Amino acid sequence: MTIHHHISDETLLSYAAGDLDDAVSLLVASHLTLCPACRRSAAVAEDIGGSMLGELDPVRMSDDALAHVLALTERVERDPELPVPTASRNDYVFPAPLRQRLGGDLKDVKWHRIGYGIHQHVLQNEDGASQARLLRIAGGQGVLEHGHNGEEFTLVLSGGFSDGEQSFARGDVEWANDDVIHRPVADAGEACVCLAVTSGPLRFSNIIGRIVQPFLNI
Amino acid sequence: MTQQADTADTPEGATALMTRLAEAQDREAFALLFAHFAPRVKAYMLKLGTNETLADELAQETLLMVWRKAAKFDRAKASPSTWIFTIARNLRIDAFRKISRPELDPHDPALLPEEEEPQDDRVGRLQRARVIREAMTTLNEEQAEVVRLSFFEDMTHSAIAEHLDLPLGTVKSRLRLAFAKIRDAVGETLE
Repeated sequence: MTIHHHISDETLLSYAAGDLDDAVSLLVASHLTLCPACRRSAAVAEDIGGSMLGELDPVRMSDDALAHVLALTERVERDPELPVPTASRNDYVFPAPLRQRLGGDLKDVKWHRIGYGIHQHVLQNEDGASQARLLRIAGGQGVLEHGHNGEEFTLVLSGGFSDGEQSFARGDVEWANDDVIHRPVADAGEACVCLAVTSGPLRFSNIIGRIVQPFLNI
Repeated sequence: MTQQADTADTPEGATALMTRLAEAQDREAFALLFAHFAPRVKAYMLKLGTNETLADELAQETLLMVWRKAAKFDRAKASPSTWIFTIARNLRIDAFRKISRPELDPHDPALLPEEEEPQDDRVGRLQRARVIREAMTTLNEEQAEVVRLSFFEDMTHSAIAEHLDLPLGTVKSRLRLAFAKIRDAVGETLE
C-alpha cells in the first residue's frame, strides 16, 4: 500500500505547532497512522518546535516549583514502559485517534441514512470549529456535485473513490477549498468509508442537494 | 557519556539525563532536566498568551509528565527537547479544550510501518537537532516570521495572512519553502 495523496507540508507544520482545530487534527493524526512519509515529515516539524523551545529565553519558575513537582512524583504512578501489542494490523480498520474519538471501530459505527446510497455519522468535536463526520458511500455511488465554503479534507479508510482523473484509496487524503467544485464517485464493489472534515457548509450545485441540505446537517 | 558531565544544555546531555530518569528514577537527573526545561516551557506558554500563574502550572505539569512518561521516551525517535515540546504543546491545547488533542499512537496495531525500518540512529537523531537549529538560521526574515507565528502565536494560516496582510497563498508558500529548506537540510524527503 502506497499513499499517493498526502497532507500538505504547511498543514503538517501547523499540526506540529498545535494550530489546527480539533477535527482537522483528528484527520491528520489518522492519516499519519497510515502514511510513513508524512510521519517522517511531521517528525521534522516537531523537531522544529523542539529546537525553537530550546532557543527561548528561560523565564524564572516560581520558588517552590521543583519541590512541588518532586513531591507530586512521590504520589503519581509512572507509565509502564511499552504497551504489549496484543492485536495485529488487520484487527482494526480505523486508526487509533479515530477509534478513541468514536469509542470503537468501523463495525461499531451507528450510521444514519442520508439518501442516495450515503450514510453518515457525525463525530463529537469541539464547538465552533470544523466538523468531522464519517461517510459511507455505497459502491459505484456518487456524492452530489458540490463546492465548499472553506476547506474540506477527506481521508479514505476503506474502499476507494475517484474524483475526475484522480483516484483515492485507504490512507489517501483529498483536499478541496472554495475554488473546487467536485463530484466524488465511490469505486464499484465494496462501500467507501471516509473521514470527512469540513470547515464550512458545503455548497451544492444541484437544487436537490440544496433542498435536502438543511435536514442532513452537512 | 559520563554521569558527572551530564547537563541538559546539550541534546546528548539531556538524552543521558532522560536515560538516568527512565532507568533509575534518578531525582538528580530530574532536577537538572527541570532546571533547564521548565523555564523554557514557561516561556513558551507565556508567548502563547497564557498568564503567569497558568504558565508556571503548565510548565510544572509538563515536567511531571516527563517524570511519568520517562520510560516511554524513545531516544531513537526524538531528542528530549522535541519530546518535551510535544508534551507542552498537548497540555496547553488540553487546558483550553474539552476534548483532548487527537494524537498519533506509535504503537497502534493499525499503524502502517515504514517499508524499511530505519536502524537505531540515535547519533543521527542528536545530530539532527543540531542540523535543524542551524537550518533555522538560514531561513530568510519572511520565512522565519511565518514559522514563528505558527509555533509561538498559535496562528492558523488564515490568521497569519490577516496579521501580515498577505494573501493566504503567500503565507502557505512561505511556510512550505521554510519547511522544505529545513527538511532538505535533514535529508528527509517526501517521495
